Amino acid sequence: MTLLAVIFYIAAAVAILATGAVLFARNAVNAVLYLLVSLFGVALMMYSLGGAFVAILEIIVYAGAIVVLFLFVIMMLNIARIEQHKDLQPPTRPQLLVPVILALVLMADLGIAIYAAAAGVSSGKTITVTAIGETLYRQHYLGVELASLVLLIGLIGALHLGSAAWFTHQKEANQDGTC
Amino acid sequence: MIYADGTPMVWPIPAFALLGAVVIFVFSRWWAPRTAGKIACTAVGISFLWTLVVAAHLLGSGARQLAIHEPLWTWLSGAGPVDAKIGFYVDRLALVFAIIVSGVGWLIHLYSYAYMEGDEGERRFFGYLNLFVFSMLTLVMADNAFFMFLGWEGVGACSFLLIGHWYQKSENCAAAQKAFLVTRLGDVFLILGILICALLVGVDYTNLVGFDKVRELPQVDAFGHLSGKTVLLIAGLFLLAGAAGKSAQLPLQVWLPDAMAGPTPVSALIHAATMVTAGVYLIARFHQLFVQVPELMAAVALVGVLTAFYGATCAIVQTDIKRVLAYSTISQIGYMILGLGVGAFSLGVFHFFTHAFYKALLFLAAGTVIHSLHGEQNIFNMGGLKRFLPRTYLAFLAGAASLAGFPLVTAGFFSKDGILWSALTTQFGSVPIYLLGLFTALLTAIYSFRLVFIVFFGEQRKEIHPHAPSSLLEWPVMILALFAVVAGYLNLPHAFGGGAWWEHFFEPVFKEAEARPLVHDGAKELLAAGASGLLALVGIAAAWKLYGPPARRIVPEPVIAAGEIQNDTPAPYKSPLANLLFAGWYFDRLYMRVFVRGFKLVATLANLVDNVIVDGFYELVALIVRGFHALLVFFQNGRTSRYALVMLFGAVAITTFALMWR
Amino acid sequence: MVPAEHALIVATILFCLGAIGVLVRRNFLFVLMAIEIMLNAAGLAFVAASGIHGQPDGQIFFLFILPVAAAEVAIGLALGVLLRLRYGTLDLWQIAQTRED
Repeated sequence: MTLLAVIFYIAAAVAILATGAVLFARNAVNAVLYLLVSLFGVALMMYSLGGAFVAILEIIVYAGAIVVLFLFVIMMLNIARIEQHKDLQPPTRPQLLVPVILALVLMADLGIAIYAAAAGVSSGKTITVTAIGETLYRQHYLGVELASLVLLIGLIGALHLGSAAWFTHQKEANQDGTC
Repeated sequence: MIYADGTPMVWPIPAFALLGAVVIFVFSRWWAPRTAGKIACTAVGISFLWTLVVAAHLLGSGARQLAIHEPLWTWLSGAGPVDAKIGFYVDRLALVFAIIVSGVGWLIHLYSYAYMEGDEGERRFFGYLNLFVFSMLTLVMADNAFFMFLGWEGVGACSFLLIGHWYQKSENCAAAQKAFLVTRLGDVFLILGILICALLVGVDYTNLVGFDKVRELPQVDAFGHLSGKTVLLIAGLFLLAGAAGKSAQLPLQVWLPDAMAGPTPVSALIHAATMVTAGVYLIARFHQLFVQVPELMAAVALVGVLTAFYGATCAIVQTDIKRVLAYSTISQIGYMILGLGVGAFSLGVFHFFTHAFYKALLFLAAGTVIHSLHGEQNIFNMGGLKRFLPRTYLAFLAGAASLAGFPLVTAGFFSKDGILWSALTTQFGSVPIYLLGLFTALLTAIYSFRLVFIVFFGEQRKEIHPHAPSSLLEWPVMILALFAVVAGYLNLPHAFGGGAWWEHFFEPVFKEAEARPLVHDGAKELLAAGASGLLALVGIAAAWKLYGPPARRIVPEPVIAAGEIQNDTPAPYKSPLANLLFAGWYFDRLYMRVFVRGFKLVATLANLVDNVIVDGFYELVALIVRGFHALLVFFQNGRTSRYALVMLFGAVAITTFALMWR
Repeated sequence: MVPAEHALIVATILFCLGAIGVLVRRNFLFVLMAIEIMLNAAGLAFVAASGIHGQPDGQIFFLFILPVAAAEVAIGLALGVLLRLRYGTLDLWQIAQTRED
């Protein structure tokens, strides 16, 4: 077993445990930190599977941008602690029952499909940034455009919703003022 | 109100009573309570006067008519055999009943005016009383059976309302309901009988002569090809059942003793003089049917004599003055029915005529006694009242003598003796029936004078302070007492040197249907009359011996706790026989066990079937629908996670299926 | 070298955990996080596929997933702020029971 394989299994274990911790977290900040651990684990797995570049991107984009965004919102809305928010309670067993059964069935299905496909072994050969860039801009340039469109739409949508939120806030503030 | 040819109109007779009722119901709330009584007395008084006008026209010298038939308008027509008209028909039978209803009714109204003074329901009472008189007059004067049935139900409703006059006490309400339900059972049979008659000959009284043609029919198509005689028997039995329900004959007699819960004038008017004799009127009116079938006549006679015996035996041990009179009424109506059943229709009606006077008198006198003793009804708490109520005592004595059949000077003697003589000698009569009737006459004498001796003779048993009755409580009673004595001479038999005027009077009505005594021997008739008269005297002597002041009673004084006597009063005597008679031969207990509990059992079973099987089916349907509903609610509860769950379920399902059919 | 099946199984497990998280959490932010986990697991599967074949296409697909996830989080969080302002809570069950007048 090579070092990369060892890294993979350790990272897989950490990622799965951290993800489970996200599900049962009682504190929003804790949950975001567990999510961060999970993302690091996934990034390590990607690295061990030969995706050094995507591993870096994973850390930069997810951990660096998305998780920070989550933290900002949590701090802004002040919903961190369960004492004030009973909706932060972890799921109870009856609530878990049906989703877990479905998830197990789904896992079984996918596992059967995966083993039936007999995919082979990951080479572990690192795919270089050059290769990715060439393939991206030669074959998938339309996808790049689409991705930029998605980001643009996300930008517009977030701006729109944010302004709506701002106006709502202003109105309530005015009402409070008049009262 | 007189037709061009000089015939007086008939419809005003009931119309005045109805007018009185309507005026009282609509306007009396703005007037003093006493005004209602005045209006009621005036209305019935006018009805009575107009009845006398009609009577004078029909009976007066130079009368050209035997009956006035006055069709007014058609009520229902074209509904199969139902062809109901509104109209009045007054022949001599209807006239006698109308005179009694309006005349005795008027006297009782006057009495009630004094009796009900200060009662909280005075207006209501007189309104119902007038409505009753209207219904009863409609009953006896209608020109067809359907219209008569309307009056029949009307008197039933008024009876119900007046028994429950003091509705604040639940026993009174129970008594009213019992009376209503038991008579209603008879009414169901009555309407069936009327419908059969409607199919056979129609319901107009002028058509009833057609029954003799029906008897000749070998088979009647409308009734499953039964022979005409069988159909007549069935119809007659139905009518008899209807009459038994209303007239408290066996086996539907249970309601009348309890009906004494009403005010005493009501007991006098409705439950002694008029309404309970509607059965007598019915059978007399349908005599053309009854005489066609000898078995039917035998059934009528049997019901009559058995009821007479039953009532007399029960009356002899009762302790409530009104219940004694109630059982006596049952017994006396039994005599009337017996008279009809042996074919002596005119004598049955004659007994009704005399009974109406002396029984109304007895009730009113009893009412005076109760009124004077502030509501005391137990005769063993009375005694020695002769000194305090001398006029009432004399009137009561006259009534009791008439009831007992005191020979030669009372009306009851002549009417009852005529019936007994007919029971022995007509084609429908027989010796056992005669003997039972005779024995009952003895019992009657005993119980009527038991009442007199216990209530009016002897010492005061309880410290009571009777107050003197007002004059209006006394003189209607005196008038009735007069009639209770002299009315008998209307039908003085030939054997006594009389002209039997009454029987001749009814010849146009009953014609050849009236069964004449087959024995035409004045000596034998005198012997029979002597025997019954002697029995009456023996009965009175026995009552003196048993219940008079010097008596050491063979039947010991019963122990009754304070309060009124009801059917469920615990047995007061030591002797089981006396207790059996006291409870009316346990008919009530029997009916309670068989019918009420049986009905409850059936109802429980039906409820079970309904709940388990019928409802079960619909519950199942509802359960299925509710299941679908729950499914939809599960998907559509508005929670994102639930939609996501369904989506995941779909994804899993699709994946699974894709794998299975790969 | 890691067998490709193991990588894919790990991706499946992560995906299922994310799905469970979407289904069972009441808080809007947690649901968003769970969605992130699911997307992330899909990306891992792509990368694993890329590793099996030694080709860059799988990783390129991960590159496409990244802006989708970023846009989704941006819109989602903006939506969360709006929800919080309008309903005073991020409890999805409570919001579902609240009716607009």
